Amino acid sequence: MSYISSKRIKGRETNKKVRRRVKKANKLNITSLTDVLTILLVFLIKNVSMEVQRVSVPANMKFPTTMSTEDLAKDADTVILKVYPDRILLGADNINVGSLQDLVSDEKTRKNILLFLTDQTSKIKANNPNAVPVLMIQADDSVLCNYISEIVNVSVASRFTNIYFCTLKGDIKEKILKL
Amino acid sequence: MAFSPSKGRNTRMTGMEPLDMTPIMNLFITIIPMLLTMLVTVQLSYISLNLAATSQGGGGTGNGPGGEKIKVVKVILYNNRIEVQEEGAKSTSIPTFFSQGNVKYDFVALDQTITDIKRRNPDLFNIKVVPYPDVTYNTLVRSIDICKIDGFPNVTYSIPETRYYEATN
Repeated sequence: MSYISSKRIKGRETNKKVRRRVKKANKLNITSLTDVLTILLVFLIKNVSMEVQRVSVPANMKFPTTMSTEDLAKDADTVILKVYPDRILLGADNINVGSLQDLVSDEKTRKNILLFLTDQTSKIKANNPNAVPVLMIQADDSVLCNYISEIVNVSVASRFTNIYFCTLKGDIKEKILKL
Repeated sequence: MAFSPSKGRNTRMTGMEPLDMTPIMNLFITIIPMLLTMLVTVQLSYISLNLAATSQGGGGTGNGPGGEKIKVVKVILYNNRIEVQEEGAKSTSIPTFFSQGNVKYDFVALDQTITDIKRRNPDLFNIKVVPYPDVTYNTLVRSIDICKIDGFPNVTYSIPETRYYEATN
């Protein structure tokens, strides 16, 4: 509270000091703010993973279900290749290089894929000579092995030493065998 | 008992304060939907691919690094059957079957066959999977998976080759 000297109160001059009524500010309720920040921050810090953001089940793609799982190679630097029934997408930017039929019939498509993958392995090695270039193939389960074989051939020519297929992890063996 | 005005000032009854719904609404409208959308309900798995060494060629037996002979087991995937060829033993043919209007591979029988081979050859860890072009990726991956589960961690991916020989008279 501040004090002012009042010279004129009720028509009479006086030197009496009176308190100035200062309007009280409303209290700020930060319960919701701390609520949101605490839960969100704790959950995000615990769960976020850059690898999960990159490697996830693409939309409109059905993975085969398998029982076994393996860890990626140590110091792996992954490049993702998505094979849909009607198109092939390369890299994190999902560059469309053409259809599956183009892959087997059009030399230019194969060359583009080869150039892209070779460029990726070169960049990986340039950034970190100890890194292991890993190609992760995410293919729909209806794609024919004809195209998979062609992709594997191109991948080997691009100096990828480790090739992985992405699948969904299943639990019960008997159930998975009968799928 | 009547209190003096100064004492009564502190015990004056005030009305119930309205309940602040903001934190609860924050929880149900923002945080819980966000956590549910971030929830991952599927678990991804990876299967590595070993590629056939070009020096070994197609068919026949392979040689180990010390030159010793390594028995080769092949799982050949056709569009109407699976053939399991074990060197020195009779090959097993597992035909497809119809189920709910679809043609399906008998992976249960394949699992049993691979298990039997492993039982006869406990020191054998290499197996070759050879899919024909018209076989689906699903069949290929599941065959590789069954081989790995049944004790053959070194699964080699090989492509069927067509060879031409010149006729000699």
